[in-house]
Parts: sequence; C-alpha cells; structure tokens
Amino acid sequence: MQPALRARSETWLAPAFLLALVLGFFLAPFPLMDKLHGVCFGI
Amino acid sequence: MKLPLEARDFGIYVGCIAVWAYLIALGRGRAKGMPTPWILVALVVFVFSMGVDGVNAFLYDLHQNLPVVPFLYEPRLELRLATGLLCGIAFAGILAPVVNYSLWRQNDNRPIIENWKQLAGGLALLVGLFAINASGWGIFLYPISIITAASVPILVGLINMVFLLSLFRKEGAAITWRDALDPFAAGVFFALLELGALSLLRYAVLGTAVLP
Repeated sequence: MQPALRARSETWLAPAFLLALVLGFFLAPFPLMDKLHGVCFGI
Repeated sequence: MKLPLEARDFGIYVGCIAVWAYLIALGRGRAKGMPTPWILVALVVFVFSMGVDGVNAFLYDLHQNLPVVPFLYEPRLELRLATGLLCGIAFAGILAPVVNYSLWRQNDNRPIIENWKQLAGGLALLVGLFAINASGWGIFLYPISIITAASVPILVGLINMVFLLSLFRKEGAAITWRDALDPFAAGVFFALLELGALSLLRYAVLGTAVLP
C-alpha cells in the first residue's frame, strides 16, 4: 500500500471502528435492554 | 426492570465516568497530577468504605449458612449504591491522572482534584446519580441503562489504553482529542475481547445468557 493511502486509512480506522461498534450495537436485532444487559453480563 | 449493573457496580463504573466527565468540564481533562494529599486520603477512605461494605455483605451471606460467622450490619441496597459511588469518584481521581500521564503530551501538572470545592462538586454529582438510581423512575431507565452499559467498555478500554501505550512506548504522544482516539479505540477493542471472555466464563459457570 502506498504511504499516503496507508496514512489516510489509518486516520479513519479508529473513528470507523468506534462508529461501527455503536451502529452495530443499536442495529443488532435484539431488544435494546437485552443488549445493554449483554454488554455487562461478564461483570 | 433492572439496570444492566447491580448497585455497587453501577456506582463504581457510572460514578467514575460521570466524575471524569465533570473533571473534563472543569478544564482538568489533561491534568497529570494526583489529587492533593488530604483529598487523596479522602479518596482512599472512600475505596475502603466500599471494601468494608462488600466484605460485610460477604460475611452476611456466609452467616446465612454458618451462623458462627460474624457480620457488622445487615446489608442495605442504599449503602451498597452509596459506597459504590464513593469508590467511583475515588477511581476517577486516581485513574484520570494515570491515563492523562500516559496519553497527553501537554505538561499539565496540576492535581486532577485540587481543592475541596472541586471534590464537593463531584460528590454533588454522585448525589444526583444516587437519587436517579434510587428513584426507580421509568423516565430515567433507558438513558441510565445506556450510560451504564457504555461506561463498562469505556472504563475497561481506558485501562487497556494505559497498558498498550506503555507496552508500545507511545506515552505522552497525543496532542489533540483526535490523536487520543487511536489508542482509545485499541483499548476498547481489547475491552470487548476481555468482556466477551468474562461473559463466556460466566455462561460456563452459571449456564444462563441474556441474549437468545
């Protein structure tokens, strides 16, 4: 990968990951409260 | 309907994140100094109070099967929540400077909590959280549940971030909040793995799951 392209992809990696995480959480086809309890299940 | 975390854990996680946000709002989001000595002593006492309440609750549970086991008092949910919240403010006061030291390049060496007025502000916030949690009002259920669930990967992610920054010798590199996002995202990634492993362990032991 060219350095410029790699730098640009790295710039977007963290925000894209966190955004995908939040979107994936809210779009997952389960009741919201079950998902919220699921996040904390191991605690 | 129950919140995602029980009272003590709610106090620790949400209390810590809420006080951390309060410290950022005070303009101390990058302060690297530990709280001033007497405030630090107060924070240690807060952690100790949670420990005493937790050990007492454990002894009380043991007492139900082994009457010879002594306990100080009958556990109360309000006390469990209050000592959890006190532990939360203590964790914020102790953990935030460690995270800030690992993360930021800026040399802001002010104590994270410099005076009793700032501590009182944090405690007032905790009183609000206590009232919201104890009220059981339905209007708060979803917002507080979302904040509670979010506080877990955020806090575990921040702790992971400190280890990762130290491991890869990248301490003190972030200049802007955008710079901080990269190590934070890595910390959250590992937090998901850790929380997933803990969930699997709990499932293996208890055999119950939240999701179908």
